Amino acid sequence: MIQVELAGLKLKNPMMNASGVLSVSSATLIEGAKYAGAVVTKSIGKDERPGNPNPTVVWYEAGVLNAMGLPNPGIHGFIPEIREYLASVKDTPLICSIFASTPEGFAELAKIAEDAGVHAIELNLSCPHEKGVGMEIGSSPDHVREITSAVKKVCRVPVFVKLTPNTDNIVKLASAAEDAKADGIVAINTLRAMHIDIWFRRPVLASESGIGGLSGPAILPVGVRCVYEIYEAVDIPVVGAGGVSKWEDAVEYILAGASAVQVGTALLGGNWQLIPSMCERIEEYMKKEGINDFKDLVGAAHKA
Amino acid sequence: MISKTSLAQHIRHKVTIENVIDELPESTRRHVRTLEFRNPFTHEPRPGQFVMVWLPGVDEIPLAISRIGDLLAITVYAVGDCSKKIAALEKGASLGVRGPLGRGFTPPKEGERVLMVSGGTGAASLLPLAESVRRKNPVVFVLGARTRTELIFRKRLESICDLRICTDDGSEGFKGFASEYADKILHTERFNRAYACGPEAMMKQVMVSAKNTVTPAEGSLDRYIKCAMGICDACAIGHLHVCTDGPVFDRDTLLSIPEFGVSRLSQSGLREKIP
Repeated sequence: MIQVELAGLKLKNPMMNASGVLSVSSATLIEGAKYAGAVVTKSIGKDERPGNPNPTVVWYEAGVLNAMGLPNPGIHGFIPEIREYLASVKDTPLICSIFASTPEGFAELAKIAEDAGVHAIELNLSCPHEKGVGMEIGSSPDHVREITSAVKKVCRVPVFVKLTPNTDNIVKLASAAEDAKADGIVAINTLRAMHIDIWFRRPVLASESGIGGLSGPAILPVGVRCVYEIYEAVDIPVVGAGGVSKWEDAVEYILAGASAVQVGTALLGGNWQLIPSMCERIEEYMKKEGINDFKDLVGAAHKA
Repeated sequence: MISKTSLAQHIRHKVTIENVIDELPESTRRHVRTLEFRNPFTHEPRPGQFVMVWLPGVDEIPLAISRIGDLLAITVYAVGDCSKKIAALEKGASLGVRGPLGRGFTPPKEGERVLMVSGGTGAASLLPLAESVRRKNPVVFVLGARTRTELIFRKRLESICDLRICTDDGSEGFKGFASEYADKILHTERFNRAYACGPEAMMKQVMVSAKNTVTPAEGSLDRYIKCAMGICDACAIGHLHVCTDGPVFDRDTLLSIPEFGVSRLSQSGLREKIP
């Protein structure tokens, strides 16, 4: 097992699920905790929200598109799930993803989640398809700074900021988060995208704009580039996410500078077992390459 | 590990409705309609599998496959916005479908005496199973409904199996729930295998009766399904997912899940009690 420390959290391995993937029900998160170093919840807001009507997901050759529309039971409706998780899992940190439209909104949610016992907070500043939240507020360094700062003022647990690649400069966003004392960066969320059904002659996703977020193998090189750039600019840890479906992809992120890696689309079918199988192969790789300490692998592509 | 779902199952096909069949008399308040369309999939569905039915601009909902062959059918109970709109479609209208999805029923071994228990529109997913095993297995089909005018598929079932009717109000057949009748005959008649589909409380009763009589059994669950590919967690039950691990689960799996018959996730993901 490659144990890692991430912003003060002890992880039994450096892999976790990406928010939104297998992350609504406590029973699913508890199952995930058997395999992952940490588990991340679905993005939770203040109030209950049904999300978009279906179709919310499209799977085709290039990857998976989604426009779930941030469905969630609201923070108070989600607390029982948090409590059930904490009552049964002791060795795997629970990271609560939250979304809001204002710094005060984020701070309020973060505090409620922290009081409920979560081990860390992830700020969703990157959902690519919903109005007034996500990347609409997370594309501006000033907003990232204000939101992060507001949350850091009320929270003691580590705060990660999940950034959008749908911007001309993700590095500025990362630096803004670091300025505001974020404990870590998560990069990247999905890429804004659309799929059109040629027989019905319309966008498939039922979001208002027809736009969703692209995930899966297609976005791996975008994510690796983002992590590589961010790693050069900030000193806080970076969690790599986007398009990881095999162990080599995770190693790419680590070499680019990721201290931990999130897996999303590849967990399709409830496939948590992918995580330990990737970890085993990463350990083999380290042995083969004569690397004893995982830390020596992090960012190693920059030293070459 | 064998993948539980594949890309081919998630391609949306545009199909044309070839036939529509009203399953209940016009005088009934409930509206249940069967829509038939040519099989657009590369594989023939297995009994118990479902399709995601897309009505562009409205929604996409899971529906059981109620006929298997060159023509496939879905049977929809007009209860929500989308199901009402689907049930209102006429011959020649178009729908998007993806599938066939999920794990279907385990077929009985040849010669096994089989019990099928349905409540309400649950009969839709059991009917193709009854049709597929009719030549190899004696089938007792317990068809439950609130009242005699709400019994669906009666004619099709009468011709292929030993049909036992149950109505909540006693307007025909056994007065009471299908699960009560099933419990009685599981104890008095010999069955090698049982299947159930219908309201979850009813299915739970059948699973308990099956366990008490050491009868292998399976039940098919209904949940709010979004992605249908085991990623969004909307249909989580225990650590399993109805869309890819189900909708059919075996007796012991069902009875081991604390949520079975008790709670489910709403569209938002809020845990709610099952009525």
